[in-house]
Amino acid sequence: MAPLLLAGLLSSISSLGGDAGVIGRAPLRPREERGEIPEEARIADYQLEVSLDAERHELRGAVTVTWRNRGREAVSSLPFHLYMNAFRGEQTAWMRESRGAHRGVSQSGESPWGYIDVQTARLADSGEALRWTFGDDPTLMTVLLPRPIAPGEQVAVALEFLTKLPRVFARTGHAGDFHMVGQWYPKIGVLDPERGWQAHVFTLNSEFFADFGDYDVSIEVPQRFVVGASGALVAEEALGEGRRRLRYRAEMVHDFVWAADPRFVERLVEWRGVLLRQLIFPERVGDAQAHFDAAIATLESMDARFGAYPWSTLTIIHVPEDAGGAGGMEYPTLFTTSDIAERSLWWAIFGLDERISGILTTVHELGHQYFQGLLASDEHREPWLDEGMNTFANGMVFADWHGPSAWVARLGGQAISEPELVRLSLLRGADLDPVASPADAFLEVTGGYGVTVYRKTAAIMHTLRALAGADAFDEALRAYALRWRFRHPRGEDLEDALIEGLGATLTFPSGSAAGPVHMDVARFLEQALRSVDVLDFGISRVENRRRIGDAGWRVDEEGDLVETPRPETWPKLTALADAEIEGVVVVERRGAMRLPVELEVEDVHGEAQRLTWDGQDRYRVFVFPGRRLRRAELDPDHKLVLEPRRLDNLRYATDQPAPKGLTEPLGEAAEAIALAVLAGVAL
Amino acid sequence: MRALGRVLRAPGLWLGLAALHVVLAKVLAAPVVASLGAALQPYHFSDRGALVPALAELLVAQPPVVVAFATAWIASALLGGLLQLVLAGGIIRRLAGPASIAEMAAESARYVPRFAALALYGWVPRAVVLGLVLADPLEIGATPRLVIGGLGLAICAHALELARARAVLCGGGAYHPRALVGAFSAVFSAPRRSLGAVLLWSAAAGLAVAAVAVVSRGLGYGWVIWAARLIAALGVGLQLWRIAVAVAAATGDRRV
Ligand SMILES: [Zn+2]
Repeated sequence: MAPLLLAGLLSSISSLGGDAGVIGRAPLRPREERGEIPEEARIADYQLEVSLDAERHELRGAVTVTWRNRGREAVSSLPFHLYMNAFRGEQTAWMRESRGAHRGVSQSGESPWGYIDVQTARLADSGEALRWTFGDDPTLMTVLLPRPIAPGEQVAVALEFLTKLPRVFARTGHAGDFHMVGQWYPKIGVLDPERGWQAHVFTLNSEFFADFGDYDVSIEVPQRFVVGASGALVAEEALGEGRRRLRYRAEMVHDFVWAADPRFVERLVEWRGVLLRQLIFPERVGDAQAHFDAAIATLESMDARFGAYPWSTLTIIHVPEDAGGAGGMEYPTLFTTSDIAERSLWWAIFGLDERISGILTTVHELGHQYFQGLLASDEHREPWLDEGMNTFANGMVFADWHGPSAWVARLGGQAISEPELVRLSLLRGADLDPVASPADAFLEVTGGYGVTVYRKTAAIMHTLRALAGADAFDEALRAYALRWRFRHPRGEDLEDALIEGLGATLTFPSGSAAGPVHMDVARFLEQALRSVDVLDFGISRVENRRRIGDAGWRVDEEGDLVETPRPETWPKLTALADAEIEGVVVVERRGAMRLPVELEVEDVHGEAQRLTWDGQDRYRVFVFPGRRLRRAELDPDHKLVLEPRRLDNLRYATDQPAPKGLTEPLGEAAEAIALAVLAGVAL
Repeated sequence: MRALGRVLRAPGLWLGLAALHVVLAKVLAAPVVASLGAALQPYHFSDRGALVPALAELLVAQPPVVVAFATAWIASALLGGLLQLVLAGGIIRRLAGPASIAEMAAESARYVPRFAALALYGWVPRAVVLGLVLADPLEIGATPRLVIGGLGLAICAHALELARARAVLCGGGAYHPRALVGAFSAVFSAPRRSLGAVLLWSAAAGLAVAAVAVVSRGLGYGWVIWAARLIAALGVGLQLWRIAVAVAAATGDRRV
């Protein structure tokens, strides 16, 4: 693709190094490129000053939060998230659920804990001291205001804090000189005009939810550290004694993170006025271009599908091997990725290739710039809106990048696509909790979170897209993305946008005299998102049988009883002409999910016929007079990504020879390997 | 090339052994085919280009299918080892000169117990090589370990072959471990000949890897099994050549 070639060229001039061309950018792309940003979206501005003690892995910081009351009622207290306190000890809600492990990475070391200690709280203007209280969990604190803040008014609160970074295992923390500084400062909750304050105790699966605002952040670090941060670097000064201060500005974002490590190597590339900055370790520097290619392909795809990427910077952080828990996480204008698996000679010999390690991580985490960075849904209340919709968008990115049959893993001529991977993952654990459940409804012991929230959501969207037609679906989703950027969409907002864009009812030709088949989009979404019903169709019978003839007694035109003799034995099916035969297909709905499904029957002459069954009843019998059937297949175009079990979708007529489509090639593969082993060991 | 000449003068042996391998592999894979067929019943699958997702779905629904695959391959290895024991006497006799099938069979049967003892002793140096390669005390990295491991196993194989050939052609007790120790000293005292045997062993091992690579690269295509059979036939030829090197050496020893 042309943009990728361009990226390659641009990256070759990126060795300008240092901060040349980096300092002083406006944090947002020009208005004509990024579009308007509604003023009412700006609710919480942060001014932060922080100093890193790289030996003790501690941050001393001060924050002034300016918060605007855009609600309908006066507010007399402000809830603040103290996310870092999740790692304070075993008794926090987060640690109780996680048991000290996150995505397969376990807490390690003698003192792995981290915390945030708020030391002072004052009104920024008057300096008046403020009181604060805690509930059951230390991740949530409430600052009490001396007087209520009326709707339309604003308040500025200044807090001083000390943050001790944990040994990294879950997103944030340190590993040697590597510092991933996320969830590090007190963050105000979100005031929902209808639901009131949205500020949840930080639990294992709940990620984050915050209002948009501008961030002005000064970071003081030892001179030798290379820093990557959200937003744009606007100033840098040496402080003496081996330390320096970096000042960043980020606009219309809902979080600010930074990472620092002396070993970081910087790579830069520009994409349509957006500066992509990659901080990578020297031993992995050869992978930088592959990550840039993936990032640019993602930006190309998502910018076209979901509206302009609004910010002028994007920073990709690599994490060292002993800090894997920090990898694969999204923050505004910054994300951490993971390493691309090393290719050995054996990969080439056996024809193995993949785009999952590293590449999919970059595609996924960058995708979050839209699904949550821009469409800032509540990750605690509705995690499917960001993780699931983003997973769906990842599949679209691969299709836009490598074509509709893009693979994510390949073994010789056999390949698997991203939607296919999504579909297969539904085989286990996707039917325990509804998709539209809050994050803390998913228990770690069931293992259902990832498959339900990420994959089942994506499968629902792929399925709806295939049924409704790609163009209509893409247009509806684009309308949703444009309407809700810089806002907090809820599940029902997405559903409304889909129903509005696709129409309340989808109509399919039945392919028979029965008239068209209808599908209620709202009902589909309701069942797919809020029930644990599984989509599974199967063919329970395909057979050819003799049509009913006129043997026996009947009344003829004259009113006389006449007999047509019955042969001693009915002729064999093979002896009958096609006109004397009828094909019969019985299709079954084996799961509780109801959805129209296509059925394709093919007769012995190779003539195919497509029908649509509405999938409402438990089963349906289709009869084809005068046709000798060879086979019948449900969902022949593989539209129903939501159907994990597809092997029962194809069946040959009982009297017809069937291909050994699976047993033959796999049996021969088993035989060939047995032969290799035998000949290799024998003699 | 004297050794190769011995193989080429016994085309029946080569072809017969290759055919035996092909048949045995077919038999070994039959339970896999049956288990796949049973797991899929009464449904069908027609898209040979999408075997991986279909197999994944099948394995989640019917995990015992994995056991069928694993059993077939483990049985192949065991059977391969057994064949080595059972056929070696006859093969050595035939490579040493013309022999009828009956003579070969008799020779094979005669040497089974002796070769079983030799095979047992042969596992001692092999275990040392494998242990060193796996433990990697010098931390030399994957590729050098592969090369050194291959070299070690090849030398062990050649020594074992030499001990067998000497037992059949020169007489002498193969029950005592010193038969193998003597073969090892012969391996190191004729480095050029041994290098040839090592190269042949490596080529045969390379062919086995190539057969697996053909399967993974060509999965779903009908030519895979025929390519694998061709490679296996070549592999059998190389193995015979390797044995012929030992036979030539043993015959030479007798002359001296
Ligand atoms: Zn994600």
